[in-house]
Amino acid sequence: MTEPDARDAASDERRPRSVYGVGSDPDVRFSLANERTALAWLRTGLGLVAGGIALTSFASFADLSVLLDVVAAVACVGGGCLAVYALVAWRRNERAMRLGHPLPPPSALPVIVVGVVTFAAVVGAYAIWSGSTR
Amino acid sequence: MSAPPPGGAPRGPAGPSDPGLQAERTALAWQRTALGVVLGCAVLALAGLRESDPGLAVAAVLVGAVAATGAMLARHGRWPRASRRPWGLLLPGAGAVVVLAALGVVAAVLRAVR
Repeated sequence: MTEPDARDAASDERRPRSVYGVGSDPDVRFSLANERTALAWLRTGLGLVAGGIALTSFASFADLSVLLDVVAAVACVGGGCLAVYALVAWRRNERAMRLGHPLPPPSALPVIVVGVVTFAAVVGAYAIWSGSTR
Repeated sequence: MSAPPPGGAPRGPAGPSDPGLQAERTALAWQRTALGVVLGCAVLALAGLRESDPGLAVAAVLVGAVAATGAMLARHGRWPRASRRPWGLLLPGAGAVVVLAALGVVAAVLRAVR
């Protein structure tokens, strides 16, 4: 470790300590990219939550099926989980970069893909079912 | 920008010579996120008005106004500041999304059992 590093580690008060207390600063571009990734996850979660709230409001306008409320609640829960994941993944990635470890995999990606596919299947099945019973 | 020096010398923001425009892209990502919060709050405020819940609407408008102000004040590459402290904003941002999610779940469940 170089001289300025040791001085930094002592005077560094950035939070959280579990991230900035270990290793050394990576290239600032990588930190910025990690920050943007976290923000992208946050926006994905936000989109899910906003969609869920909009769906509930819309369902109350048109007096639609309870199934829509279930979908809306699931979307909101998923969005909240993604927001938490954004924080967890940012912290994990930043730690890995500071310690020179390989980056952990984006573990939320398969989950969200399965979720979207399931959502599409459920809505498609509902559309066919409601069309056939009309 | 040449290869970064080894170790962690204190680095300023990625300057105008940064070919990847990292700081600008990050500032824009913050702006998009803030605008997303504004949109989410607008949806929530409309839902509050629709359910004649003025408290919810006012709270949503206030949070949205804060996020909109932040987005407008965010000059490219200047904010969040050069001393990177994203956690201080990421944490309340994620907290806001979680609160919004909880409100959405409550609204959906209330409507479902009604």
